[in-house]
Amino acid sequence: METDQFQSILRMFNYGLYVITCASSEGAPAAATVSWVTQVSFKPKLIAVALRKGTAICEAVQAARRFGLHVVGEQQPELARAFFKVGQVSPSEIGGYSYGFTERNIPILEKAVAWLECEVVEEVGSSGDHTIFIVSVLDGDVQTPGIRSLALRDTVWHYGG
Amino acid sequence: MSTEAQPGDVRSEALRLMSNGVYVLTTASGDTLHAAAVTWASQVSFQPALLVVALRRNSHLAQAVRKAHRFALNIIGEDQAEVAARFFAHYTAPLESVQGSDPSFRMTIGKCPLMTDALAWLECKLVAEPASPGDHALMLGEVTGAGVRRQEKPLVLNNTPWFYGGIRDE
Repeated sequence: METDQFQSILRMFNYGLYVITCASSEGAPAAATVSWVTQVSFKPKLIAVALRKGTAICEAVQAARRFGLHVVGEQQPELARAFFKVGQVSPSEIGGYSYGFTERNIPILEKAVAWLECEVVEEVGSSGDHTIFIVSVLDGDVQTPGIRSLALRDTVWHYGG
Repeated sequence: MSTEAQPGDVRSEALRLMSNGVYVLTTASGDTLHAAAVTWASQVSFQPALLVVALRRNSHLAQAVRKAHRFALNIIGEDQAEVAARFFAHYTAPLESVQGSDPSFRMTIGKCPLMTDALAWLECKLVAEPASPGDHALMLGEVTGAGVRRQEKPLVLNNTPWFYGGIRDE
């Protein structure tokens, strides 16, 4: 069986949609919608995030070591769509969404229903085409209690890297 | 897995909003089949096809995977919540008796057991156990084989009354 046939089965995995935001030395923050995210520890609270090697978001996270992870809510597919490819950046907006910096210099989107401040504790080198970042969860907030996250499978999209 | 929420703070609340599937991990160590329901799993590469699954660090399941260097993730259907529930506690059985038993398994050529009731399966070679300071070990698997039996919707943790609470398998 070829790798692309494995892929049709790997698409049966369930993923949420998340927007990662990261301060960049180039000025405007980097941001991207991602889906290969899973919790990997309770104590300490750790998450694994896979980012395609060589992308702007991957390089920004490698440099800053800290980023914001926003949960895209069930009613917010447009939030995910806005960060598939980020064009518009202004001093107060990324992809048309206003943001502010936390004390840790992590950009956080104001419209997020839930967000986490993350710090890289391990960067996993592998033979794969993505870098796996193991990150600790420093802080977070749920701004809209009782919401559900948008599941990738309930959208018309799939992640093709 | 349990119906008890993770204790703790708002970070736990946000973490619970993350979307996870429910899978049954199967492996064979010596003459014994080991299986358990897992939820912390994600693809992490297209070329080669790699996935990562987090298993409680000192669990029998993690030990069995380290010994076998091989495991399968069985994808459970949305109408198979009771099937998944049978694997919330670590499940073992003598390999010789698993075929045609209930639950039933079959062995791949690579000596990896598969759950015959699952929607689909992925057989993986353990390629690394990347360092992580957490309470779960990360198993990085390269997909070496896969199959689909039924085109149905997989089970999603958010649609069940359960949370993963990191139960021990002792």
